Amino acid sequence: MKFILSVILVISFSGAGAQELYVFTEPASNMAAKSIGVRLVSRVFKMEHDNKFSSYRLEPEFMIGVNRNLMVHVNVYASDMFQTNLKFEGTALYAKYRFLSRDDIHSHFRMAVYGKIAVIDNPTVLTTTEKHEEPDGSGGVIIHDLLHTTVNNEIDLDGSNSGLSTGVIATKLVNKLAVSASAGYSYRLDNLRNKREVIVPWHAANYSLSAGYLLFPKEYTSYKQTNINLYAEFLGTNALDKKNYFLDIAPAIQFIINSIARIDIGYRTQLYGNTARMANSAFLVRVEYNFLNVFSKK
Amino acid sequence: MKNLILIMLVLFSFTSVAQVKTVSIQASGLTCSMCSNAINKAIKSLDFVDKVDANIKNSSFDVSFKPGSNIDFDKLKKKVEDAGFFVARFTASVNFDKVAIVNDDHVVIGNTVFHFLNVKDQTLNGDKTIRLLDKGFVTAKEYKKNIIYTKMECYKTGVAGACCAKDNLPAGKRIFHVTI
Repeated sequence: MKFILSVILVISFSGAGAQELYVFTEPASNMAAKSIGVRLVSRVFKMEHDNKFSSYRLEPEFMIGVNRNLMVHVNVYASDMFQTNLKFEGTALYAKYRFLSRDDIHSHFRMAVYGKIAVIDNPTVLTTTEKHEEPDGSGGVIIHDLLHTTVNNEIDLDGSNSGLSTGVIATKLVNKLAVSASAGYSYRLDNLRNKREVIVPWHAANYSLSAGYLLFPKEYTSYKQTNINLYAEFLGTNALDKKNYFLDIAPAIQFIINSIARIDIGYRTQLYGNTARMANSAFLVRVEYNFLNVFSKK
Repeated sequence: MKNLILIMLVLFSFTSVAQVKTVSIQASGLTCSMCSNAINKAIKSLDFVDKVDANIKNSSFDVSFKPGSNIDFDKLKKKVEDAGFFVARFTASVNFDKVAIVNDDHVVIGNTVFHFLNVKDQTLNGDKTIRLLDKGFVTAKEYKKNIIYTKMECYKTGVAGACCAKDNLPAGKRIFHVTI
């Protein structure tokens, strides 16, 4: 099991409340205006072809709070899947616009729309060769080449596929609990040097349901207290042109230290589904750094 | 010339000095310390702000100012909103020097126009706490309820309009609607 842990201690002053800083999805809330954020995510995948946590992906992410309602992210992806070294896979651009905010003391209801475009250079169908030995009946062996074909029927815009997605997010915060739901649509595009295979789904409906809870501190007395948030998320997909679906569960724990450092540790795994996927389970580790009041006037 | 001096005397006799000592802001839409810190840092970035004392539990911030600086209530509100939240309650501790106020009427104090709502006619002297009632300085729920306190359009717009012509206020002049 390979873990890449970044030991950059980070300042995170996101405009969102901490228990709605979901680990596998985005809340309807936004970053503070005129702020910049940098993230490093590392995912370690339990690959279906060898049933081991043998591959990882690094996802540096650069975020800009354009104004109080609009934020833009740029993602870069690199992984070592099916190869010996880390290789650059592609980039994505994400934008989120908060269009509704009903706030009250210790609570809010917010809604946002998002859009994402990913440009990725991975194969859509991967064929690997394995040497297979078979007795030839007279004491010797015949060596065959066995072809393994790995198909990824999951439209994964976080490094595996080029594509577009859009959707709507609604988040409700009441005291220590934040619940969020999203509904969206993804459309697969040709990967840079690899065309979409006919057999894979080309578009899908996505949905998620997330809950976050502020476990510690029980009472706030200082910015120096460590916050611990617990998350449970459900992420599902239904392909619209093929009979592919799956539902994942993703529990996570989040530490916020000194009201300045954010560290996420999560695990996402399939609950049920019929979709051929590169990996059904993965660990995630994230660290985040934000610079506040970067472009603001006084 | 004599008329001009008379007019200026009349104007000065209706304006008195009032000093804003501190402001207390309660923000809405947040629970956690990280969001509170975002607002804390945002308010501190204003050049007229000296210190911010944050109460994370109440989502409130007590702000003190640099002496002699130009304190801008609208800029404070904008900082909270740019951080991603809203103002639920905004009070100012002000030292008044014998300022006569009338309910549902305008009072010019220095360069600032106030419109007192839901108050008894009185003379303010010494330290008093005023609470802003303008849109964006109270919750949306409370703003809707406060409409009953005046028929003047300036409460909805926050600036002088036809309703304020009788007080010789230039159109578009910012009016702060307050109560005690």
